[in-house]
Amino acid sequence: MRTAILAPKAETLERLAFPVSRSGKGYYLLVLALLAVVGWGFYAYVVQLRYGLLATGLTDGVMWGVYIINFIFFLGIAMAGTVISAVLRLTHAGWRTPITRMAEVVTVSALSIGALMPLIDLGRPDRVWHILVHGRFQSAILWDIIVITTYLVGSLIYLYLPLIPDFAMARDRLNFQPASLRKKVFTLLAVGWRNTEYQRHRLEKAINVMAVAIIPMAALTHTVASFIFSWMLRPGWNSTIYGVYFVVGAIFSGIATILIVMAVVRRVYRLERYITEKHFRYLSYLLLTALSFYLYLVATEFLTIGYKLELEEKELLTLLFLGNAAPWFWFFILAGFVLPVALLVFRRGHTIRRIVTAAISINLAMWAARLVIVVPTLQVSPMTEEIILYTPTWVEWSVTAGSFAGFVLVFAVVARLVPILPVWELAEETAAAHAEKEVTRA
Amino acid sequence: MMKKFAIAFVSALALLVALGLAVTAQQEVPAPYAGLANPFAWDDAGVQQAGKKVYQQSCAGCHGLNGASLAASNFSEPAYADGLEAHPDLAYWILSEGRMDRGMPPYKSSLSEEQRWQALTYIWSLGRQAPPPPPGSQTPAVPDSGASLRVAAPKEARPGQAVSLAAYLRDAEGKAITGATVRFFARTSFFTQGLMELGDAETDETGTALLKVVLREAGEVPVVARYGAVEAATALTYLDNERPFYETEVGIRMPGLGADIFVGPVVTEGLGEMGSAPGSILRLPAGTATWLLLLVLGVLFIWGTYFFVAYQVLHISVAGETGGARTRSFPYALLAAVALAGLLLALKLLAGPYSQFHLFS
Repeated sequence: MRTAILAPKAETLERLAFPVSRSGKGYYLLVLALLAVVGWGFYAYVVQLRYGLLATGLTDGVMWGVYIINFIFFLGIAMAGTVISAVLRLTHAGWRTPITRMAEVVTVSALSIGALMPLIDLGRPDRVWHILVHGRFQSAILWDIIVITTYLVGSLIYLYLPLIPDFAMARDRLNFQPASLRKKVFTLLAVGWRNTEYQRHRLEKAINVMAVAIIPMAALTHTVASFIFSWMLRPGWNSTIYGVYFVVGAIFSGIATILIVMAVVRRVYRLERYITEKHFRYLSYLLLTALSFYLYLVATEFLTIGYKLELEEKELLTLLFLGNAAPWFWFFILAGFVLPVALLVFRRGHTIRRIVTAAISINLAMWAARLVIVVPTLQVSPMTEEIILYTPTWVEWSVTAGSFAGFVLVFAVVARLVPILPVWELAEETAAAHAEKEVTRA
Repeated sequence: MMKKFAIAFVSALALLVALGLAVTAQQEVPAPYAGLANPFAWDDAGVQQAGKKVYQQSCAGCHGLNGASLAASNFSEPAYADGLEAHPDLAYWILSEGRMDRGMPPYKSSLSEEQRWQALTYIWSLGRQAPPPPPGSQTPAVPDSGASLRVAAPKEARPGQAVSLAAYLRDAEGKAITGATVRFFARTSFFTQGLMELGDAETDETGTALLKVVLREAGEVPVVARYGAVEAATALTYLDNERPFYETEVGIRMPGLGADIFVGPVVTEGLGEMGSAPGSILRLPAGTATWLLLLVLGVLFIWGTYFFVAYQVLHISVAGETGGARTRSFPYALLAAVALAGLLLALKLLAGPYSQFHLFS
């Protein structure tokens, strides 16, 4: 019976488990800067509360704008955790282990910020409790609330489970004052983990069940988010493939986000030994696959719309290809498909830099893609012949900046509180790999 | 390290400021409106007359007959007319494209270019007039002592139908008064009761003033005509439809277990198809068997899975108990939270309006 799997020196363990540089000045400066941006975003929201949605560029025509774009964008990012942790786990891709923790933290951060965006979009947030009391299940929005809550709770549970042994390690190995708050919290959350066979069995079972359960939850989340659009008879939204479209788009932007986060965490915490070029390369293959699938879906959408070309769709396509949404659309195509393919297929130059550049380009393009989905359809007025203009105001941009800063802030804070590398899982993988080698050698 | 963060922070701040500046510079008249001028002369009386018709039909509702109803854009101010002469392209742009954040709708689809410039010419004339005397103290062009006024309207009309209101003006001897301006009102309640201006019309040789209106009322509408201090009233009834304007036939009638349950609004009961279920996008079959149960089961299944997982965590804590009983508190809390949340969400589905189970409603 194995009791201690990993018994490295306490300093190594501490560095792995809580790799915070002792000179915490950089971290605190970052948190301060992020708090400043979040504060500015909050101020902008207060202005919106004071003047109503008049402070935004939203109108009765374009009633969903930057806030809903951010909502879908953050939801898309939240796919990262599920893909890395759950899908790759079930396919026994052992290389994924170092990045599972940060992927799950990305999911939780993105979901919590993303879930706020529809609330910010409300003109009367004091009435939000009406949804709970009077919500009709025939509304896709209620479905969205149920599904996002479920997914968020599931992600939190899935983040927590592999943390149990890590918290136990922190409780035992790190030197705390006996009565310190941190020791108490770690003891509480480690729920008495002693690394017995029985406990490991239970944990494995729990993690496996969650891994299987979280994948349909993630798919459902994006599908139901797409229903908000596709259950309406607007040009461009009146599509049957929106569920798949959004799910694949989320996988696409999720993998791109995790690549960026990986690069940052690797540099900041000096984890070059654990997050290697191999991780970037393998993820880039997944990214290319997702890119092809997403490109296929985009092409199918526009080919189908363009071939039939109903009157309202004609207005929409004119707006997208040649009108005032054209810069965003062509930026999406170039930065989302052309540039990443060029960077990923032609392997000249520094690998990690290439891949991370492609990932950044994709993330920017996917924000533009969400804009292209949400706004031009609403610009085609259903009643008159006009194209309604939408210009986001400083309030909307400020809240957007605040939400992105909030996302990074939540990630930074959580990364400070929990080990950014899944220590126990890494140890298990190493032990399993060693055991396999022994078996094949014998 | 510090320096890098400082640079990053300052550049982020600069980016934010730049973004903010970019989106606040929004006041210039864009092409193709920039630089446009009025093709008519501002003081052309014929254009002003034509513009008056357009104005009364399209603008008077919000801006008032004298253009003074909205403080933000008071046409009766001479300064407004000055502004029109100086920046006709700005006014034309606002009229055409609207200003949705101020509640001004766009008119480029409903009014031709000619009509828009005519309206603007008339609006200019409003600013060049002497301010109208307050209503009631108006001395009519023709003395109204002894004048009699009668107003007539059709008995009934259908919603959306234009009706002609006629006012007959006679002086004390019974002779028709010509060229007098009669004002028409409808008594409306819109947060308060009052007389809504409908427009004014001039009497012709027979002393008849005609005004064509489309009222947006239902039921009996009192109509009032005024000439100076003389008033006449009548009533016009807009027929209410006893039936809803249309019947929705959405959804598929699926067989269900149990008797039909009616969940629609009371007035639709007995309308046949529409009375049996609400005309919603996702139409419910009657009875207990309903696809809503599938959703509820799905939610309970997923949250049941979470409960199962939390239960494993409880087992871990129980097995690891070595003295400190506190290790169990978190798993119990987790179990309770998961159970509570799952049941609440399932209940949300079951207890919502039109969920057919009439829980709490």
